[in-house]
Amino acid sequence: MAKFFGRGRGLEYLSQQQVLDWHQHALQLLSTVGAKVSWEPALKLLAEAGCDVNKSTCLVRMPAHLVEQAIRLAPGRFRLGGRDPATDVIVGGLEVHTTGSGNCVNVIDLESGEHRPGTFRDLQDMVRLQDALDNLETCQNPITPQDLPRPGLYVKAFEGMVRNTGKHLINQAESGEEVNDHVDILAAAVGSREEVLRRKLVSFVCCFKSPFTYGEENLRVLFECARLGLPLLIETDPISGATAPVTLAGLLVQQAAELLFGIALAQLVSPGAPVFFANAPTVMDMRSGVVSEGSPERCLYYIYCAQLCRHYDIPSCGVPGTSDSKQNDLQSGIERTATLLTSALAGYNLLYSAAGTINSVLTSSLEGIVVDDELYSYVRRVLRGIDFSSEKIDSSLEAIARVAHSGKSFLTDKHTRDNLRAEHWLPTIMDRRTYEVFEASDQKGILDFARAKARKILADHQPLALAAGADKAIEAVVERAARRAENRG
Amino acid sequence: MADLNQLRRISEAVQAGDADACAGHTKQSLEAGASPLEIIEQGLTAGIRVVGEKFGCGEMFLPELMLAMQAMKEGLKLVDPELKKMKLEQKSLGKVLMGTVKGDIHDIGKDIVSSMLELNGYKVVDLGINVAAETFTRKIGEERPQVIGLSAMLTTTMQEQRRVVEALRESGLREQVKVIVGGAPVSQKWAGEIGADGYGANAELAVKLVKTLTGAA
Repeated sequence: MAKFFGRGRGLEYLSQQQVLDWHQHALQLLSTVGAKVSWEPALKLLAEAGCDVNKSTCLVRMPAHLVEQAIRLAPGRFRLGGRDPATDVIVGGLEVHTTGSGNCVNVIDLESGEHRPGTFRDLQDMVRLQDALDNLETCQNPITPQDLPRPGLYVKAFEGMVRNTGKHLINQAESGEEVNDHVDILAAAVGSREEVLRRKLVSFVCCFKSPFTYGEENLRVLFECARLGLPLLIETDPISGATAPVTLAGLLVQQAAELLFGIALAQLVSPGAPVFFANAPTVMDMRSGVVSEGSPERCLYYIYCAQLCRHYDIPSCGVPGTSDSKQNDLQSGIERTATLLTSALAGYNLLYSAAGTINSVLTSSLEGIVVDDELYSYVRRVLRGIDFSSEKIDSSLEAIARVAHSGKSFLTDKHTRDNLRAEHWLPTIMDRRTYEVFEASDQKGILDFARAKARKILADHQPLALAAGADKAIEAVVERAARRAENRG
Repeated sequence: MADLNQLRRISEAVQAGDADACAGHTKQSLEAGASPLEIIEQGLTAGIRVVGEKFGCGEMFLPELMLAMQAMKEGLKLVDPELKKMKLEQKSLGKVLMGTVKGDIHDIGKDIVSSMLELNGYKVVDLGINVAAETFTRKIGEERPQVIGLSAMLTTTMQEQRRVVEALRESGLREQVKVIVGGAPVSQKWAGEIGADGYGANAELAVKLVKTLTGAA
């Protein structure tokens, strides 16, 4: 069993031939321009597999057949398990799933409204809040806590995540050992490492640098995850006009090549390793030099990439729902909704990391997370479409015959009551009051409602408890990680 | 003594908005010797109270509320003659005469407000749609309500609300009743302008207004 969120509608701009051409261009880039790989074990593996490896420049040219083989080996569907099995999701095909807030450094304080550095406490509040919000299905580390010591930061953050949610977890790591720290923390929480690996309770982001730069830290994580069979978000975030061509097609070809290289590497380490084609492509704002996360180009990138990923039958993962606005305002509403809705309609498989964020995914807030849960719910309703089954039509025709000319309205017909909840989306924090009620109320719209909902959830909600004796074991792992990171300096 | 299970079934039928079941259980209860007051208090009203609470916190919606009201009314119809035999009357906070004004055939807003008033313990006499000013004045004489509610959906027909208020004045009835107005184009300002006693921006506020006007708040 796994949760169902919605099914994309395969919104497509390209012909089949254009998709094939796109793929051929990407292959060509990998066999000519190649990738820069700065870790000896990876270079060795690539050379053995038949790549053209230049040891002095670390440049690797990958032949097309290795890429084609990797696309065949990479699974089209896989499970993202949660500590609470009822929250499991399966990614692939046209199915759309979601993630909560991701990797911000600042928060807007729920009570004071102040924009300030995010803390470990904020991380835990956000994760616990998301645990209670049904439309945020998996959990990415929402905050890089600014009040924790740098060594072993991700592992300590992960402890905060595990304690506060039963949903599938996504995090970053700085080494293969840290990947195992994550597995050990979860093993303490659920009882065994075997269970963590079998049910794939955690995924890791491997974000490589555009253009074509594969650093040691991420390669170590990639190797360890592939070896353990944990899902990998193989990602690059090319910036149109800065780290990729200004032409959007050029960026998309470059990015496909970059991600296929990472995917091929994972399949060489462990054939069948579960991988995402993950990306957050952007454009550079050529007035300010700021990287824009909320542009219409972002909508297009995801529509096009969804089509390519379906061609590859490899799950896609991206960061729509982002905004460049510095506050939860109309701009953020426009950017979040547009990028999210188009990506979902296109069938992007995992909409991740953006919930609740503004300021180009640098700032998150509890009220923003509640608002985005509502937005995801709205999108979910759109994905579901309209039930045009003969059953629905027949009962509706009967209702029309019963009500029309009877002097009554549909409001008091049983057909209305019986179908209301399935047909109409029922908002929880949208302002649908009359103007006079709004005017007389202290609650001035969606953000006030969202804050009230966040406060209530934080006061009431308890996440799934950890296995008995977990606390001590988790503490030991976190200490081990901090010590190791300090020694490494 | 009433069978508590039977009273619970009446309450549940009201909550489910099932008029037939509500009438059936009410009838059985009466035949089994339950007192009309018990049926009202522990069956019908108990059920509608649950519905009102759930509606208030967003768990139930208008169609469910209105069907529940209809179910309760079916039960009350059966209990009423028994009450009369005992020389008792249904408890009520007051009587409200409701109607959509002449030239206007929109009734959904009026029906919603009527249901909410009934839910809150008022007796509502609904004159329906396209109701002429003379009909309002005549019915005030017959029904002796504390409040009359005038509904208008259109910017053209809202003028008729003013005419009804004038007709009340002309027939010397204006001081006997409070007048409330409602409808999409209507506002508090409009209510003041035409000499009505109040306006409710939604059904909930309309109830609050009626409670204030009848001294029940």
